[in-house]
Amino acid sequence: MVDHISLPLKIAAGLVFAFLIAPSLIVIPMSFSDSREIMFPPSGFSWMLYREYFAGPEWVAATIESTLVATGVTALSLATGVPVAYALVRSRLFGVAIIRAFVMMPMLVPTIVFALGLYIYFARLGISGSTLALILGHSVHNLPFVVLVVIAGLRQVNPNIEVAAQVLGASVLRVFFSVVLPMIAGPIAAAGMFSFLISFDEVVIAWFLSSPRTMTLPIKMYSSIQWEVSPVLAAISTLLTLLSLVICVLGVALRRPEA
Amino acid sequence: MTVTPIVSVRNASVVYGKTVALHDATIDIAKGDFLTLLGPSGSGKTTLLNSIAGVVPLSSGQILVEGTDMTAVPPNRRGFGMVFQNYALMPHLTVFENIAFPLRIRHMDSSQIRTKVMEALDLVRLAGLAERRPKQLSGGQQQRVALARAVVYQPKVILMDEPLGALDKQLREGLQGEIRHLHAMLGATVVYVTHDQEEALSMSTRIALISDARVCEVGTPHDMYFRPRSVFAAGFVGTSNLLKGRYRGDADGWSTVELAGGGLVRGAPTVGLNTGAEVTLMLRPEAIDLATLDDATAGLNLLEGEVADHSLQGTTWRTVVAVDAQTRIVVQRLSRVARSFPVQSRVRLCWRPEDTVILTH
Amino acid sequence: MSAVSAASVADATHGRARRAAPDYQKAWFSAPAVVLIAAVFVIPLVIVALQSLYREGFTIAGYEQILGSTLFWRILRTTLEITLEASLLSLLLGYPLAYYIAQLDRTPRAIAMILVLLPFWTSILVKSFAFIVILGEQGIIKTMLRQFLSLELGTSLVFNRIGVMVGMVHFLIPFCVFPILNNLLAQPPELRRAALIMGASRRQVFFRVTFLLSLPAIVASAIMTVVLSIGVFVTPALLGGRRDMMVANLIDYYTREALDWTMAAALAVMLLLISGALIWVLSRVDSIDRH
Repeated sequence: MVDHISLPLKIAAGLVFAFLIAPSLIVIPMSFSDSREIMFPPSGFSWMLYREYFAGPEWVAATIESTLVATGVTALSLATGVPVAYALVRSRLFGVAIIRAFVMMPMLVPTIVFALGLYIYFARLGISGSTLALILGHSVHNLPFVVLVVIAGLRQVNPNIEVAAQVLGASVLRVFFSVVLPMIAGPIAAAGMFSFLISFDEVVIAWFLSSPRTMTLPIKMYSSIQWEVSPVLAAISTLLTLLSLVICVLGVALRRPEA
Repeated sequence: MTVTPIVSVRNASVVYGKTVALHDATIDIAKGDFLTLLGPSGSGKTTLLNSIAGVVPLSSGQILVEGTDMTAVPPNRRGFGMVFQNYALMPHLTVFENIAFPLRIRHMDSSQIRTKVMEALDLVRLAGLAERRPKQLSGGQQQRVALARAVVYQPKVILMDEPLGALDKQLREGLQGEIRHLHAMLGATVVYVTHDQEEALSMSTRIALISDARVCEVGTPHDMYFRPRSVFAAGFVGTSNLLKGRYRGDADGWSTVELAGGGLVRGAPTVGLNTGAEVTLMLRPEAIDLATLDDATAGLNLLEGEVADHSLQGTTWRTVVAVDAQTRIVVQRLSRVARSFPVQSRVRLCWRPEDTVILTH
Repeated sequence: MSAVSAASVADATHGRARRAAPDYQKAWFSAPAVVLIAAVFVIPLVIVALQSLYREGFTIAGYEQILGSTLFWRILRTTLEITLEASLLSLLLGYPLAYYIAQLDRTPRAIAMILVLLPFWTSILVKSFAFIVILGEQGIIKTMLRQFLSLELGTSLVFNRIGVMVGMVHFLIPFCVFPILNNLLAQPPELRRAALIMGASRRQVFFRVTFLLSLPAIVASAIMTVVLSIGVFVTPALLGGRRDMMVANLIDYYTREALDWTMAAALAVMLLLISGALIWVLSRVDSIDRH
């Protein structure tokens, strides 16, 4: 779609872009500040805030917990999401429409409602506050997204390749593991990375499900912002933004399967 | 004593809700046949091929393989081979591994696999490309890999779904020859789908004409071309002139037809016609000759008309003659020997009675 | 007709293709996901519904308490205000951006997409922290106004409605851009060219062709932004003030501070119903448009 781009449109777009990018950019120079006062532009250059982050046992513990949870979530959401995406795209049964609606439900429900449910449910099951609870909660939260990314990847693959494999003698399982998975390795990796990132940054479910010993990084940040806005948050924010950028670029690049 | 056909399709139907993709198809395929399913787009020919493969389940009817009912058997256990228009090679495997795929599934040992794959590669003349990936090959090369993959495990029947559709003309002709060569060398049975009637005529031992989800006609290429049994077949295979008329009985060993526009024509003796019945006559353009009003034309069918168009096609002269207000006949004669007739001159069309095909439907 | 073909005719008239075994086998691949959703999504939601009706025995006291509470009605009103205003604003800002990106060539467009994706994938806490820095009393905007324009802005820019709106709109804009962008890119350019050739001005082409064709995407964006906004929790908590509490914050209050699970659950059910109702209304708009 190429019409000529009018100047007012360019200006409007530019302003909106600036608005969108501003927060991500602001935190970067601030993270190198040498002062404990929050000011912009910062007074001088220092690694002080990064040292504070890496040296702080609570911050490190929260980061480890987040990484643990996110890894578990990636594994579980892929293990459940990739097969169901395959079923939704390739199985021509009538019931798959129902399954699709079922699997997409978490996207339609406000997270707070789901988080409250998990809180009460896991409390009754006795696993509230555990890493397992967080992994389960986040996996369900991420599942629709993983399914969508993998479905999009599968749609770009020539379905005759699987038909050929079947006629050549491969069973359905063999086709899935030896033919389909290698072909959609890219979209699977992208879905996995996005799932990791979503879990790593997730606040609401974590707020309800974590306990003092299983605090995730976002929860620690949330508490920190509420009590007093500490400048170390700038360093953490910069690192998180970097993580987002890397996963964002890699994920977009890998989304397409080998044609 | 009849030999059991290698594949028998019996009253096969495929229905999706309100759409009938295939209706009551019955056809026998003999061992060594090269049967082409020929028809326009959407006619059901691919559906028929896919039901033989087991990829599309039947709503009713049966598929028998060497006498055994295989209708409920899934595609991975029917032991066929299949080639697709878009090659369907596995992008993450090398050419070697692509061809080895069916052998690995059958748990053949590595040295045997190596031998067989190299044999298959030699057969399609791609011996040096074993370690390449599909995306590094041209379309023609990819299709040859697909062919090798389809024959390497010696399947009972090789199914081909418009395999040359994605290739340009020259490549297509080259590969047509290779496929025929493979068919002859391996003694394989092939079921081939195409909409290109020239391809069907040149490659097949038998042709099944499919239209509107039905098998219309089955016959050898020769029969299909010279003795079609339906107006549809006459129109689809090659060019034909169609004239309407009424059957007026037999005389002198020929069946006579009175043309709608007047004039009596003699045609090949046809059984089962009722006097007065409406029939359609078919004439191939190359069967007609043009004569001036004075030439001798004993024993031939004759029609007078005026030349409406006359053009050189290269090997042939193409002349369109208007016989009456509604009827135009296309005539094709070799340019090397034929006389030229200017537009608006009056001519006579003449042809042998045995070249006239009388069709009732 | 032989017996075999007579039976097949009867079969064919049933009009159903039998499903091949592979289709059933592939359907089983959905089992793990279905189990996970059933066990970790459906059950918790059912528990919320049940909890909302249970306080030492089954009772609707929770709902009565909510509906009778002025606090609730005030917060509901705040929530709906913020939701609808934020959705509208993000559509107004997101549409021109999507329109602009649709005009770009492939490479600049890819870069622009990454620029929109980055805030999309940035943690809400990073964004909230950044806005506190930008909008705060000693923050960037106020400091710059003081230094360059010697202007002391009377009102606060954060920890009030302004802060919440800024945070929400920033969060929602990418969700508007993507559906609209996809729609604009899918529109065949011949339609616009045809309209121009027929004499329409650029403005007319936009309003009579482009905009109308993008309506389904606008509705989809509206639905998405409403569903996302109505349940937000972090943004009002960090960037808003006491008067900007939304339903999600109230649920949090009842869960963690008042320790009244029944009230929390009843609120959650109400939120779900309101959200569902809004989605329903908005999808009606979509189907009216089709006539």
